[in-house]
Amino acid sequence: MNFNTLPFLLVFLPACLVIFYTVPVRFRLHVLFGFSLLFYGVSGLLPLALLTTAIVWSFLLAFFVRRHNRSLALVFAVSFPLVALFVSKYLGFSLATVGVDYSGTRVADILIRLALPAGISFYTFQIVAYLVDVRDGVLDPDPSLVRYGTFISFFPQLIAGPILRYEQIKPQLERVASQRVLAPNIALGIKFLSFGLCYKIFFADVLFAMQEQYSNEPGANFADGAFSVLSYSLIIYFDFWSYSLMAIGIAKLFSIDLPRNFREPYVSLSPREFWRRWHVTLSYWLRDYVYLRMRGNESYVRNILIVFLLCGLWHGAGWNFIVWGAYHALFVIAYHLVRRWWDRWPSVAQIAITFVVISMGWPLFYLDIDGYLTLYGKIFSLAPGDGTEYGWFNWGYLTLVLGWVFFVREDKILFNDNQWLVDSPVLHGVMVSAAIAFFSFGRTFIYFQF
Amino acid sequence: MPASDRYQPHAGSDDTTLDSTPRRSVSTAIAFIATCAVALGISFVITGLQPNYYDEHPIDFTAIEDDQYALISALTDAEIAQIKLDYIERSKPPRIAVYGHHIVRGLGQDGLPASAGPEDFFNFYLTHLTLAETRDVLRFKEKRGKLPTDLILIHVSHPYFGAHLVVGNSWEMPLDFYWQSMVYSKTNWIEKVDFLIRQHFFRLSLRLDWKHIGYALINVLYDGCQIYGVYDFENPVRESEPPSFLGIFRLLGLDYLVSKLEAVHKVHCVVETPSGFLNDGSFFGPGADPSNFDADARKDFLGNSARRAWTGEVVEDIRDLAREIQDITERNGTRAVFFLAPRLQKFVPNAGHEHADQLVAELKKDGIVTLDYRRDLNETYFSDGIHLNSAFLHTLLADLAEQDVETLAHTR
Repeated sequence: MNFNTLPFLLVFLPACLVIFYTVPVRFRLHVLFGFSLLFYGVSGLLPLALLTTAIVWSFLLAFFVRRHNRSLALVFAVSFPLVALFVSKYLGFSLATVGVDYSGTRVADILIRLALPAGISFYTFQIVAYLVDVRDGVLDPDPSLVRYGTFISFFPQLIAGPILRYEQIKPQLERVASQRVLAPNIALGIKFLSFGLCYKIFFADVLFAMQEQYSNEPGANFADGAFSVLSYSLIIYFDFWSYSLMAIGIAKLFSIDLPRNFREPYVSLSPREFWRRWHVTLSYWLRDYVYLRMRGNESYVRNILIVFLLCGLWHGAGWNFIVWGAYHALFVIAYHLVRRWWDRWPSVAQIAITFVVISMGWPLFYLDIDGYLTLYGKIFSLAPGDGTEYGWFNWGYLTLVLGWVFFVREDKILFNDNQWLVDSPVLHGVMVSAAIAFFSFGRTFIYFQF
Repeated sequence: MPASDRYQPHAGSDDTTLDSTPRRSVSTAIAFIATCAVALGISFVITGLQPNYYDEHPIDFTAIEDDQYALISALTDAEIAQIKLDYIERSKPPRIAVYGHHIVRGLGQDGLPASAGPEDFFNFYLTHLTLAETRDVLRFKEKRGKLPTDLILIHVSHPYFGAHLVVGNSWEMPLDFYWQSMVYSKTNWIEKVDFLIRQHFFRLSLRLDWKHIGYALINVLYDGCQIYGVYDFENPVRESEPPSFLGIFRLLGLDYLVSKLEAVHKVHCVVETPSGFLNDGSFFGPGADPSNFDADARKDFLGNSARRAWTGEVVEDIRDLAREIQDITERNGTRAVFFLAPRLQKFVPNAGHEHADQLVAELKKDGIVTLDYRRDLNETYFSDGIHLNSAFLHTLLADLAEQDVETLAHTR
């Protein structure tokens, strides 16, 4: 189920809220858990079976890990979710890479049936972090299956994050299940939901409708190529950020605070800073569970390379994603080597160059490596092509969205209270209604596939 | 790993954990919900003002003269289907009717023996009418006592076009039709509930969509747009200028919006290429250019990956559908004949055709009259490279006569 659909906004969410606030306190988590499974289950029973099995498996194995407290126990505990992730996401790519032709075989049948359940990369990382923390003694295994299940499957963030840590969600779930009167910040929840919905429809999806007119075929114009690159950079940002923002807003309606996943990443001064602002919860997951465990800075270049290749693979099974990871590793390492010199530059230049570098990497998300090289061949050769797809309306729209990114400070307008216009529920009502009118532009969130 | 190194999501001032302000919560929620209700309500009312062409101008096919046609350009697939369904309800049933998708659209009354009158034949083709939907249409007619009295000719789509055009739904009929079909059939309650929910949300999303709001506004504010109706063949193409305010939008650089609104205007206000139905339900309008078709071209493959290939399972499903149709016709004293149409392409054996051969053999074994023209490459059967003409209908009826199937078995 998508947030940007009428069934979700008009039925699922109101029903869940009404039941959540009317049942006895001790059943609140049961309601959240049940609705989360329903939310996930409508997209297919097989993904739901995979999710519930992973929840029950990791819930039980956490006690085993704590009792035996050995690496082998941990490896066994994480094996099911990781194998499920591998089979559904990476098996096809792995077989193709080693030259096994599986088309028309039973393997192909299995792969089609399993075809990447939505959000599997996200909840698998939450499960792995939980089990590792239990092994490390940071957490005790949770004795409540409902509370643990709610943590893994909490529907606002189940499909596309933010990736939660159990230590940050457990006290909130305990409070929800014990405090008689909750004081949810509904105003802020509605505000985040409204802005997220408008980001998704008016920035991500409308731009997507324009961007997809570009074909990377012979005869394409270089300016169109540039439009395609720039617009995709904004599309993927607003597509992902809008989901996270709506997730934060919806969770707030249930009196649960989720961490902010994006901190205006396109105003970063360097590639390294970008990764502290973009998909923050993934960056810190990779830092805590991969980078620091390989002794972090002691072998900086090697570890950064490993972390970013893993980051690329997390995003997708394909050489293009691996190259994308290597591309980011290259720039983070390059920054590390020249940072004293780089940091003396004017911040405008740092932001502009960082933005261009980051943007130039995104086409690897939708093009293979040949297509990627073709695209930049056209752009850098200034190929005039057969004419242009994009008139000044398209460029004007793109400029408007770019203006929002670089000149509107979300820290002030979104994450601060008491601004009469942007905090007005009437404005939020108009925004949501306008977004609904343009739902026909709506697409599935890009990050659902990761 | 030292605890201090770990990510502390709520350390310091986390900006998503602003203090709750419960006093404001209720008033905020009410103001938000009220605003949404008003805004969405206005959209709902505006789209409700859009004229429902069909309700205002139902078509009586018997009243269409031989040199006239019913223009359907401005209608949706569902509205077009509704025209034929409604006609069935109001009219006397024909003696012979043909069912199928657009390939049979050209089969007209002139393919019948000279003794047949104008009310004896009706072509119930719809652009992508499937065999499953044909079964449901026949059920619909049976309930109303409107089944063709003598002969029901049913086209079974080729393997080339995919199984979805036979055993699935095209979803081009009115939603109520599908709902009634589900009620008649053994569909389980989960599917019924799912359909009802989807149906209502689909309708609601149409009523709230900006394009429909735009269409409705253009139709309501711009007079003279309703082109739907019955026209003479010689009726000149109807010209209508787009509203002048589109020029202002263009000056503002809103080309995308202008192109959308012009498309609305063209569909609703301009007869560019006249096309529609003749009085026997068959098609009137331009066809594809026959010179573009190469009989030697090998096109017997499923070009679109979304198409479902014929399998043994599909053959069994078609067989079940054919049996159900046979039952309907037998208990109503009429007769069903199934046929696979010829194609203006050289027959190239493949797995799909093997399954079709198997189907034909099994239907014949079940005592269901089935004529297979897939290997019949005869240009005279076609009005263009794709669509059959009445000469084919003539041949079909002659072949049936050879099998002792009477075309007009009952007298009126």
